[in-house]
Amino acid sequence: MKPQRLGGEVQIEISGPRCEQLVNMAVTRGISMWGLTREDETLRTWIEPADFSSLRPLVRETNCSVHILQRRGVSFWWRSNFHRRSMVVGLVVCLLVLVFMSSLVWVIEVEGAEEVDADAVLTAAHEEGLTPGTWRHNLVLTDIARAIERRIPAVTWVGLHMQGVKVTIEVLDKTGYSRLTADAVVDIVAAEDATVKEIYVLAGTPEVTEGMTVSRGDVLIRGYAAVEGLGAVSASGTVRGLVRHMGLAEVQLDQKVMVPTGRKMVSTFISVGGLQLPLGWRREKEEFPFEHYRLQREAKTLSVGWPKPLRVEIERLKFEEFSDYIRNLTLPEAEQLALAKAGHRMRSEIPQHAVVLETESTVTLTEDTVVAQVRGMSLQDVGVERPIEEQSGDSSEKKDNRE
Amino acid sequence: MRESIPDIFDLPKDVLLDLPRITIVGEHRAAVENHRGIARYQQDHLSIGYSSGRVIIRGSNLTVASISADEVIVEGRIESVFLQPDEVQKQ
Repeated sequence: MKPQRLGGEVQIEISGPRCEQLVNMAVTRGISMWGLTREDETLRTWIEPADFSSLRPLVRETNCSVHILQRRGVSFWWRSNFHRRSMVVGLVVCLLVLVFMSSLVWVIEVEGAEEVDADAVLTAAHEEGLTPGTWRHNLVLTDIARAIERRIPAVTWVGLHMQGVKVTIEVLDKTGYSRLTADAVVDIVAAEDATVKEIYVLAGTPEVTEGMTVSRGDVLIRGYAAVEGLGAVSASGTVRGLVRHMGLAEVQLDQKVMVPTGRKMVSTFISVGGLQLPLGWRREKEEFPFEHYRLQREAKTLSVGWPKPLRVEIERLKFEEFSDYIRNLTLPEAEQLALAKAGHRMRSEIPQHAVVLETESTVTLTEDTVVAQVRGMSLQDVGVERPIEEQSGDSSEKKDNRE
Repeated sequence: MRESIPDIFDLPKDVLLDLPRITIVGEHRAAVENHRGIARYQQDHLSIGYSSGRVIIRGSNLTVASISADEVIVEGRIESVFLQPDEVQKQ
């Protein structure tokens, strides 16, 4: 059955010898009907209220009789309750309260504070006028953020953003900032085993030359940490190399295939605080409806209330049943499938921007299994940034290099 | 000749020849497009007209979930769906 329409809907009963004909004539005149059922010698159906008057000429033409069984929908509810003054007043008051309440800030959260006390940030925010119950539209978030930065010297940066009735204060303190800046000095190291073909250095010292073979993790361009009298140098540049790739796949001639049967079951749980309630056929989460199934989980969480918000989680588990059968592949089919799988595995290792230079493949048959191997070579960027290694003992040598 | 035109121009036959397009979802739902209205309706039997015959749906607790000028959607326990061209009816 269709959900109730905003404009309302009426259920009518059609009786007479030619009631099907009345339905057909109504439909050809653009009247939609739904929920049509046969009850003994009559037909019952739902139509839009505006279409009821359009049925009159058709009723006369087909010698049928039509009468209304029930009405439902918002429009009918509104008409029947509009004369109740307290109802209307209550509705208007409810709307006004809703608008008023949603114009205030109700929740303030602090994120990212490590060294700085979150309560100190909240206190500073309160002193700058950001408290629960403040008008949302009166807040100038950037001014408050700068004021909190001034009030708490241990804070490097503050960002405020508002979502609905919640304001989140993001804080970056000095600890986080110093770690970020330390991480910014990097070496460029090999991401793969490769043969270097091209190297372009923008900053730092090259440690390899064209034609050299490097292993994963080897330093390609070296950066330097700050030492007394000299600033840090972060390695920068591009190193391209030839990288070998291989994909291997096995395919059995007798394939077990899983196919969806079309049967699905959905169960919903609602968790409030520590209490979990099932909404549907499953009482326990450990109950599974099918032997073979695929499970999709969706969860939505919201926090209600202040200052200690109550966590409400709605979890929806969707089970899709699968059944299995054995499919016998011919040898060419199995070879084709194995090569496709192996090729796909090899290609999945190669970055998008790499140029594939050559590929070769071999296929072997062992008892009831086909084994395919695809090998290839690509020209690709092999350098990745890595925070600089501990540099001790040989600082004089590194100083020379930098000069 | 009329039947061969869609093949020659690679066009959908149901549109050009005004034939019904029937979609069945499991045993609980069937949709009939390009219809000409309901010819007969009982709880265990529904007959829907098309340009040159009728679509007969048999089952139990059959209901017409919706009907418009383009499509009839039937729900219930569907046991069989078959086409009865007009020539068969005349015989």
